[in-house]
This record gives sequence, structure tokens and C-alpha cells, in this order.
Amino acid sequence: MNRLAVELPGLKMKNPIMPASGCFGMGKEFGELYDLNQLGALITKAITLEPRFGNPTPRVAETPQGMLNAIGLQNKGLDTVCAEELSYYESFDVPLLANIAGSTKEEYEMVAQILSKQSVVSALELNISCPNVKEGGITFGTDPDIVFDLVQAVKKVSTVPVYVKLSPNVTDIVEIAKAAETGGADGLTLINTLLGMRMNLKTRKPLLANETGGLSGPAVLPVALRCVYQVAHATSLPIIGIGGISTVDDVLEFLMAGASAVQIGTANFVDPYVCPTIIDQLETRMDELNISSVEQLTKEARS
Amino acid sequence: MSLQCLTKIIENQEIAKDIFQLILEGDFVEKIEQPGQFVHLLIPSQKTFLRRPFSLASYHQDKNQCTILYKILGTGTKELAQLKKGTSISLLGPLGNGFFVNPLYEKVLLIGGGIGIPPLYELGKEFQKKGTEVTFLLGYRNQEEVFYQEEFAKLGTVITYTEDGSFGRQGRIDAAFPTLEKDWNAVYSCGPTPMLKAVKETFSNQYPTYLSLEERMACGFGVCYGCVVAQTKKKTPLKVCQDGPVFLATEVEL
Repeated sequence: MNRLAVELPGLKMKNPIMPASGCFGMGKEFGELYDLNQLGALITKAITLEPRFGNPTPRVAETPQGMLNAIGLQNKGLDTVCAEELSYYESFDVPLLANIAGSTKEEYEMVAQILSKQSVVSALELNISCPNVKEGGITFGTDPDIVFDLVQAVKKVSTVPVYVKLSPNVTDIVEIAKAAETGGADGLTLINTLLGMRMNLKTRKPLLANETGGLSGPAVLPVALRCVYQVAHATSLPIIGIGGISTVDDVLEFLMAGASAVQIGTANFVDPYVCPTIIDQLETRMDELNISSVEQLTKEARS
Repeated sequence: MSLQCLTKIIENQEIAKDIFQLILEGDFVEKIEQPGQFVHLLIPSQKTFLRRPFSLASYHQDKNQCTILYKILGTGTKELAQLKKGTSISLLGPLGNGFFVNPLYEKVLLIGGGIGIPPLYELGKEFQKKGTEVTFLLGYRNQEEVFYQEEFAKLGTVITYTEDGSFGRQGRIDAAFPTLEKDWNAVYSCGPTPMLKAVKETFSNQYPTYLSLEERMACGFGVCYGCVVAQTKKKTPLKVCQDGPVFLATEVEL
């Protein structure tokens, strides 16, 4: 028996580690560094209906134990992604989450419908929590009624399971999680970045061209853990935990908070080999802590 | 060979006001292909989180060593300046696409400003090896920040400007543009954006003009999409770290 294996809707994973959307490009750059078959799952950068050119620079800024980004969902658009970029993932025997974003409900529906029919796509992850675009993104993810409506609409057209990626920039994340569950979500990913800002001491203006950006990295880990814990106790949906993970112990903390699997994001920028490194360390660390299996740990946390 | 390695500091000392020469040793040096490529250093300090990109001023593949020239401008470089000889630090690289050294060129112009000057040193060395005639037009803020004058003089003609006139000619280097000869095969430049704009405007219609760009970046190898520059013709932005940092001036909008 594989103690690391996790089975989630649409995602049969050999271990609980996958990269986070937006921190892994379309896979190719990492595929040149190590065998992506080692990962529990793969994920795309957010895909929108039309190509997006993103925000002006500076798009990134360092923060204490973290960073801000305001990329603005730059991607080649659904048609080009399907024609040129998805085929790369076919060479790996690992499930693929396709992350999708949009400005309107109709856009989410169109992208979801087409992407879910691509044979390489195992499940969808709805990004309703991007803080860096004017329309769509976070505006969808902060109102429970809109979340319910959007998830229901996407579920109707998708032929694969749907995960909803939630924003921490809300008063009560449980309320949003419940709305996604009622709308028919198959799972939840939490959290996306926290809205933040830095000033430029020379210009006396915000450092990022977009003024605000999304905070990620170790600085957000306790916030993410709290969100996972609260949602794990309030819904029965499987949770993919994300937020500031950079070590094997961070992964175990998320599982103990109730996550079934985790995503690793910003840490990939500092150490491109962080995912395989953590996967290698996982069993030894579980032995030291007397953890029998990943699934058992999550089950305990949620019982 | 892994893109990430531990590299040893052979030397880290101030050579002009706030300008440091850092010599690193490691197997990664073997993989350097062109002047203008860069490395991404993880500075061992609690005060920094992300890596910092640095261009290579020179490299010696027979010795497995390369030289970086940096200026103390913020927290990262301030912490880097504290590191002692013998310290090991994590390095990602070599990264990016640098300058193509065309062996057919007979005469080239290299224009550098401030801490953008360093990558032009190795470029000048490579052209000299091919027998190309090299002219350097270098701009510094003032005499205190002038570095590598003797080294550049060994490679070709050097015209130096300081903003306050304390060394060389007084003014910004674009003042020299109309006085220069007009038979270059190509022009290469690295430095502050206003300078690069002036270089593009003056030279890119007449000569192939190559610019090395700088932008805030997180990953350094094309996955974070932080360091983009707009393309002139197509709308899709280019990534400075992966598509560049050296671009044909006519290809990018500054």
C-alpha cells in the first residue's frame, strides 16, 4: 500500500503534493529540471477565454517572508492553450488540474465546457479569487450568492470534477465554502493570495504598478491553515490546502488541519526543486511522527 | 547538471563607492554560453526572501570562476556585501539569453550606464578575441563610482562621462551620440531605462542595436511572469528572464 497516495474526485494522486497555479507556468520549465511524474498532480496557469497580456510592471515585490504579485492572469487564451500548450501534459502519467478564470459567468462556462472535454484534463479549478484583475476574479469569490450561482453554472457544463479556489479576503470564508458546496463543487482549494501593498520610498507611491497585489509565501501560512481548519470543520468537501508551504512539516500541518492534499506555490521561485524534495522527505518524516498514511491523517483531522 | 548549486565566494570587496566585486567559483561556470547571461543568488539572510538576479561581468571557464559587479542599492545587496570570502551561497543559473558575439563584425559600439556597465566587459572581451574593434561609451554618476577603467582600456577605445564632470567628460552619455563615428556593425547597451530609450531612438534605425533589460523578477526562469516587457509588433509580452535579458531594440517597447 502506498502510504502517500490520495484519491480525490478526478485526481488519483500517488502523493499529496502538487504545484500551485501561477507558480508553475505551463509545466515546461520545471519539466526541464526534473521528472514531473514524481508529482501527485500537475496544474496549469489560469486560462481565460481570450488572451490576456497582464498588468504593467513592476508586477512583483518582496515582503517580509513573502512576496506580492500582480501579474494579472497573463495567458495565451483558451484556443491557443488547447492548440499549443495542453499537449505537453500528455507525456506525464499524472492527473492535471486546469485552472480557469473569467470576467463573466458566461466566460467561465465557455472555458469550463471546452477544457473539461480535453482528454488530458482530469479536473477543473475555478479561480474566483484573483485579486489582481479589475473584472472577475475576486469579485466572484466574495459574495456567497454569486459563488453558488457560478459553481452551479460551471458544474452543469463540466464533464470533469470542479474544485473552487477560495479567497481569504472575506469576513467569513466558511460562508463562501458552504455556498460552493451547495452549488455542487467537488472540492475546494484554499487559499489564494491575501490582498497587500508596499510603498516605494523614493517615489512615495505604491511599489507595484497595479498598486495592490496578492501576498504569498511563508508569511501567509498561518492564515491559510486557519482557513483550511475552519472550512474542514464546516463542510464535507475534500480540501486542497495552499498558502506558504515550503517544508515537509508545513505539508503535514495542512493535512492535520484537514487538507487532503496540498499545493506548493511561491516556494518554487526560491527553490525550483522544492516539490520533489518534499516528496522525498515525506515518508521519513511520517515515520518520525508515527503517521500511518496521508489519507489516515486527513481522516483523523476531519472526524 | 542541476540548475541550482552551491557556489563559493572567492572574493567580495568594494572597488568603488558602494560598488563591489564578487568572484564566485562553481561548476555552473562551465554552462555559461554568452556574455549578458545572469545568475540568481539566494542571499543567506533573514532580511531577504526572494533570490536576486545579477549579470556576469566576466567568466573564466578554465578556472570555474565568474565575476559579478554589484552596487549596494537595497536590502539584498546590503546583505550580500556582508558575506565573507569562503561563504557558500545557493545559485540558480546561468540563466537567460545574452549577447550574440558575431565574428563577422569589424567594429562595434558598447554603451553602458552605471551598474549596467558590467556585462559589457565580458562582451568587449569576447569581441576582442574575435579581432573586432570595440569602442566603449561609459557613463557614471561621479568619480567615486567609476570602476574598471583600466580593464576596459585594455579592450578598446573608452569614452567616459560623469554627470558632474569629476571624471572624463561632463554630462550624460547621450551628449556624445552626435559626435561618434558612423560605421558601426552593431550597437550594444545596458543601463538605466532613460539611457536605453535614448540609445534605441538614436541607433536602432541605423544599426542592429541590442539592449540588456532589467526588471523586478521572482523566479528568474520564466514561470512567475513577473518581469515582462511589451513587444513592438505582437501584443503578447516577452519575459525579461527567459526571452531576454538581451533584446533587439526594435523588438521591445521601453
